[in-house]
Amino acid sequence: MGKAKGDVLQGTLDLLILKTLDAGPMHGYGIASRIEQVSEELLRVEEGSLYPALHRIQQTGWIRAQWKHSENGRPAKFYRLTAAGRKQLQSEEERWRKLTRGVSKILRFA
Amino acid sequence: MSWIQRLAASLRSQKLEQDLDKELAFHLDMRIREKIAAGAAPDDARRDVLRRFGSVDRAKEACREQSTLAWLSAFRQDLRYAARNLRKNRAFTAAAAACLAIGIGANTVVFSFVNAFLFQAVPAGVVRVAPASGGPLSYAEFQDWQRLNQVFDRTFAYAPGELFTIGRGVESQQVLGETVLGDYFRTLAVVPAAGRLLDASDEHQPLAVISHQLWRSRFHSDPAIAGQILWIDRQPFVIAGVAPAAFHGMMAPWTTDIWATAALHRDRFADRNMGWLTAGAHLKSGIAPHQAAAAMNSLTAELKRQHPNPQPSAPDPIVVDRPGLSTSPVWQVFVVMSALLMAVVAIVYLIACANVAGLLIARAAARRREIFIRLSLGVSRGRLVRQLLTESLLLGVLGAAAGAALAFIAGDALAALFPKSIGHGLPFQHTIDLRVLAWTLTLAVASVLFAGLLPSLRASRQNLAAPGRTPRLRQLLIVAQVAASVLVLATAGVFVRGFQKALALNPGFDSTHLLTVDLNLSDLHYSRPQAQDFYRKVRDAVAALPGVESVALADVLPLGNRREVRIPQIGTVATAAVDADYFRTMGIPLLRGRAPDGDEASLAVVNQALADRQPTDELLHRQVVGVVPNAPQWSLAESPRPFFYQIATQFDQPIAALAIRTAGPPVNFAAKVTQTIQRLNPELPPIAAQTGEQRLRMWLEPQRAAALLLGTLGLAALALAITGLYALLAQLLVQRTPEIAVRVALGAPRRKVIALLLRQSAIPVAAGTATGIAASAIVAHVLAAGIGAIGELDAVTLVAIVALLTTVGAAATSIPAYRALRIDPASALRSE
Repeated sequence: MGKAKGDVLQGTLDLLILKTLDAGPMHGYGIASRIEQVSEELLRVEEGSLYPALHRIQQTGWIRAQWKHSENGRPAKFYRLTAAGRKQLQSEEERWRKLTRGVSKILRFA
Repeated sequence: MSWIQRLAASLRSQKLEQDLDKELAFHLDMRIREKIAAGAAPDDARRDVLRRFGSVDRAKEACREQSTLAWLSAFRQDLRYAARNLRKNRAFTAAAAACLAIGIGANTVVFSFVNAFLFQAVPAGVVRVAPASGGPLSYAEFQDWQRLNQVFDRTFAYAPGELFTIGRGVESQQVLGETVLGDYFRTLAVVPAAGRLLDASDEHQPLAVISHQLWRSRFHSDPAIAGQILWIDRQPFVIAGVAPAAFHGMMAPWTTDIWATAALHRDRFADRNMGWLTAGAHLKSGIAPHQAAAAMNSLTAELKRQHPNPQPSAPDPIVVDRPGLSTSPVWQVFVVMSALLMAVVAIVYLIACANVAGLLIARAAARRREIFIRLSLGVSRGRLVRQLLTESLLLGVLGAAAGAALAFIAGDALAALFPKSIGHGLPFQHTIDLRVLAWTLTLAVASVLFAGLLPSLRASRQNLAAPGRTPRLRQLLIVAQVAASVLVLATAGVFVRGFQKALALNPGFDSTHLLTVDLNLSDLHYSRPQAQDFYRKVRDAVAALPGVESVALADVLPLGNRREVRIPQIGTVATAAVDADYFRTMGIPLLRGRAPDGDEASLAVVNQALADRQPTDELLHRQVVGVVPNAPQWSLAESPRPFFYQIATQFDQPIAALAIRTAGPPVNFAAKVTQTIQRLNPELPPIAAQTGEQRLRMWLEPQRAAALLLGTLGLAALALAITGLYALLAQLLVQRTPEIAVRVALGAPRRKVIALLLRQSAIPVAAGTATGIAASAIVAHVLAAGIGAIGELDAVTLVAIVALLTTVGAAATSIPAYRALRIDPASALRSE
C-alpha cells in the first residue's frame, strides 16, 4: 500500500486529532470525516493508523474515551479533550506555526 | 511473540477486546453506509472501504500495543536496562543485595516461627470459662456446666501437656498429649486432614486424633489411618483421624501430637474435688461474655448448694473471656518474645533499607552525568524515576531470594536454640510456607519504597551545577542506623544481664553435687504396695552405691512438675510430698523448727510465704515442724508463692523423683545410678538422670536463647550501620579528593584533612548512640511490664555499648583516613 497523495504527514496526526476534538467529543469515524471535510478533501487520514493513534493519545491522558449513542442511535466510542490535552494542543499549534513559518520562509528565499 | 506479550495477551480482558471490535466495526459500517448513500452497490462499497482501511488485524494489533502494552513494554525495557546496570556494577549489586538479604532473611526466619502460632485463629464467639484463680475444673463440674448452662451452644474441656507413651516395646515413644472432652474440635473450627475428629458423643470411647506431624513421621501419611489401633499408655485406642498441620493444640508454642478422649482418666471422674480440666465454650448468639459470666456464676452457686463442700473455700467467681487457650507455661513469654523479635528484625530490615538507600544515593552521584544526559535528551522525570525504582525492585527481589535461602538454613539452627528441655524436647514448629514467602515478597517490594524512592526522586532532580556537597540526608540515615542498632544491642544487653542475674540466683537448694532422677512406673501397672516396695528398693540400691552420701524421695522436685492443693481460707497452695531425708539431700536450710525424723508421719514443713499466712495445723491436716526460706518452685522468675512439704514415709504413686547427694561431681554418677535402677526392673522405660546444674540450666535456656538471638541480631544491625558509615566516608573522600589535593599542595597540614573525616564520622555516631540509648531505656521499661523483670539497662551494658560503638566507628573511619593521608596532590589533580 503506497503512500496516497494527501496522506497526513507523520507526526501531525496527533495535532489534527486534538484540534478536531477541541470542537467537542467525537468518535473515530467522525474525526476522520471532519478532517477530510474541513480540509476540503486536501488531507486524508490513513484510517489504519487513526485508531492506534487515538489509543496512544489516550494513554498520555490528553483525551478520554466514553461509549455513547451516536447520531444514528448506534453506540460509538466518543473521544473527548481533557484539560491536559487542551494545553498540549496549544503548544503543538504554536510549534506547528513556527515550523510552517520557518519552512515557508526557506521556500520563499532559499 | 515473546513470552511477555503472550502473558499480556492472556491478561488482556475480554471487555477491552470487544470494545476494540465494536469501535472498528462502527467505523467500517459508517463508511459503507456513506458509500451506499452515494449510490454504490453494497458489495462494492464493503470492498472499497476495506481496501481503503488496510489490514484491520494490523490496526487492532497496533491499538492493543498502544493500550495494554504501553506500560508493560516500558517495564520490560526498564527491567533490561536495570539488569544491565546491576551486572555492570557487580560490587554495588552484591553489597546492596547482601544488605537486603540480611534484613529480609532475618524477618523471614522469625516470621516462620511466629506464623505457625500467632495465626492459629480462635473462631469468633469462642471463650475460655474458668475460675478467676485460674484453677482447674473437675470432671463432674464440667459435666454439670455442659448439661445445665443456658448461655453456650457448644462447650469443651481439655487437659493439655500430658506425656503419653505410644506404641509398645522398642517402638514406643513419648509424645505430648492432650485429653479432650465435649465439642473441642468443632468449637475450634478444626477440620480433619484425614478421617474425622472427636466430638461430644465420643467421650467414653477409647478414640484418639493424631497430629499431622505424627501422621507423617510414624505412619508415613498412611491414607487409611482411621480405624488403626494405637497403644497409648499401654491401652488400645482407635485412631479416628488426623488434625490439620496448622493446629497445634493447647500447649502452643509446643506441638501436641495426640488428642485422646478421657478414657485414660476414668479414675478421675467420680472425685468432685479433683480439678484437672480447663473449659472453653462457644457463646450463643446475642450473649455477651459478661452475661455468660453472670449466668455461670449463679449456676456454680446453685451447684455448690447441691454439692456442699465440707471444707469452706474462698470465693472464686467464674470469668468468661476471649482465650488465651494455651496453658503452656511459656506461652506468655513466647508471645512477648515474638513481638519483640518481630520488632527487632523490622529494625534490622529498616537499617538494611537505609544502607541500600545510602548506596543508591552514592551511586546516583556517580551516575550524575548519565542521568543528566538522559534528562536533557528529553526523558521525562517520571520515566526516569520509574527506571531507577525498577533497579531497586530488582535488588529487592535478589535480596529476598538470598534472604529466603538464608532463612531456610538459619531456621533449623534457630529451632535448636529454643529451650527444648523444659518441654522434654518438644519441638517448636517452624516452616517456610506460602504465607512466609508472601511476607518475604512483601518485604522485597516494600524495600523499593523504603530504599529506592528517596534516592531516585533525588537523582531525577540532578543538575550538573551542584557538586559533591556534604550529603546531609545520608548523615541522617547513619544517625538513625546507629541509633537503631544501639537500641537492638541494648535490648540484647538487658537479656544478657537478666541471664547473668538468673545464673546468680539462689534456687533455694544446693545444686552442686546433686543428681536427680525422674521415675514413672505407669507402664509397670504396679499395685500400691508393689510401688511402695519398688521405691524402697530403688532408694536402698542407690544409697548403697559408693560415693552416694544420701538419697531422698519426693513426688515432685523444684522446677519440675507442679502440684497444688486447695486449702480452705488460704486458697490454692503448691505442695510436694517428700521423705525425711529430703532437706539434707537437697541442701535446703531450715529457718526455724527442725527437720522431721525418719519415721514420723503427718508432719509438714512450710516456706516463709505460707508461714506468714499463719496456717493452723488443722487446716493443713498436719503438724508444722519447720519453716524453710522462700525459693522458686515452678520457674526461676516467679515471685514467692506459699508452699509446704508434706512429709511422707511411703510413696506409692506411679510418678516420683529421686534426689541424690554425691561425694564427687554428680555427672560421674548418672550412668551408675540409672543402671542400678534399671536392673531392678528391666521393663521400666528408659530413665534419665539430670544433675542439679542441668536442672537449673534448662530454666535459663529461654534467657540464654533470647540473649544469644538478640545479641546476634544486634551485631548484624551494627555491622550494617557501620558498613553504611564506611561507605559514606569513602564516598565523601572520593568526592573531595581534588579539593584535599589542592589544600595539601598549598601546604595545609594533613591533620586538618583527618579532622574533616573524623567530624563526618564522630558526629553521626555520637548522635545515633545517644538517641539509641534514650530509646532503649523506654523499651526496657515496656519489656519489664510485658514479661516481668528480666534484667535491667545498667551502666555496665551502656559502657560496653559506647565502647563498642567508639571502636567500630574508629575502625570505619581509619581506612578512609589512611587513604586521605596518602593522597598524592600531583596525580590527584592530573586525573581531574
